[in-house]
Amino acid sequence: MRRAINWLRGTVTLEVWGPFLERFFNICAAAGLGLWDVETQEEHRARVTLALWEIGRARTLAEKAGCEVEEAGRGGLPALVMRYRKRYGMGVGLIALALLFAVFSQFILVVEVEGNENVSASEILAALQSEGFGVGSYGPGVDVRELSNRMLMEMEELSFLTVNISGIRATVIVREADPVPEVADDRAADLAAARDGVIVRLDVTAGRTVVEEGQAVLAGEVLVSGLLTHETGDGSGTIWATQQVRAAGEVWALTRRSLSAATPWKPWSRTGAGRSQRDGPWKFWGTGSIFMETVAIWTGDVIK
Amino acid sequence: MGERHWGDFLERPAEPFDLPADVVAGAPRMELVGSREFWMEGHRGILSYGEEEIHISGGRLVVCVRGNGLELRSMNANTLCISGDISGLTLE
Repeated sequence: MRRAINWLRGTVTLEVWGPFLERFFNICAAAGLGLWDVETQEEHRARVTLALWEIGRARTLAEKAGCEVEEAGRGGLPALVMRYRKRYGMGVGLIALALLFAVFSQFILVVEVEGNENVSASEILAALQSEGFGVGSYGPGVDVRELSNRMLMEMEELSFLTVNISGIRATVIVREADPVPEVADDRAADLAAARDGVIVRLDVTAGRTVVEEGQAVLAGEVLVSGLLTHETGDGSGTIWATQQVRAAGEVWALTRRSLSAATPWKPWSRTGAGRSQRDGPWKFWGTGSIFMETVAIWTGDVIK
Repeated sequence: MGERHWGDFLERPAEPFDLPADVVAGAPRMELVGSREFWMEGHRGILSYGEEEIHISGGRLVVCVRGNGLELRSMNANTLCISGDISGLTLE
């Protein structure tokens, strides 16, 4: 870092000779003039490096110490600039480059989305594009609050949105809204069979069961009733109160379905040289041929 | 002379009180990094300069750095650095 700073400020290398080099070093140090990279060339002769703008003072102090100095070279950025000072095109080019960097770094080139889980980033980016924000937008000209308000009105899935712009990079931070919970339907209802079948299992959580395991039911028949009756308890069977609930539970039943599939009477098979030929009817279990058109399948269905 | 007495007066009581003598009494602080670099803060100037021996004034004492290829790497009003193949340090 020190070398980099010295390079930026510029350095000069001096050759110093005299009978009392130590006096020169001490006088420079006492005057606040820093020296570095002191190399002994011969006895009473050394090469020192110091800051470029101190060269005048160094000459004066060398004279005071009874030494002589000679400039051996200059280095650093000021020397480089002096060397190319006649090359006006280079200067103009550097200035133009700096201006281009300064101007184009204000435009957004990268847009990233963070915080989204169910809403895709492309969806958000497309919505931003429709609001006039995207790659190529002028960063300082973006009203983030206004953009955020418009985006939240357009995309109801989001509950929060902000845009952090840093140079050419824009980061869109979103938070998704919690999904609206389903309103539970608590109206009184019975549980009915969706199709014909034989009851194999009943798991009832609400209501009164009106069928039993092993009983055959038809489609539409009530399996669990939502009407609860409360008897007096004296054995007379008098109903003193009724209650209507929404019947709920799981009922397993054995049902029957028919599926059909088309199969060829004589299947094709390949022989050598790319030719095909028809074989005879399919052999089934080696006992003979069958011709199938319709297959009946028994399934167990859950009626909810 | 007065300065030497004053420094001596301050340096001795600094030790039992665990006070930094370089701050309280202006004593020089020296640091040797391996055998290649010698740093000194609070110097009072170079007394003699050479490739094999450099004498530095530290106020009440004189530091003699001996070695080969000794060079004054940097120097300002308060700190100096000597680099090279250092073989010995003597306090006089």
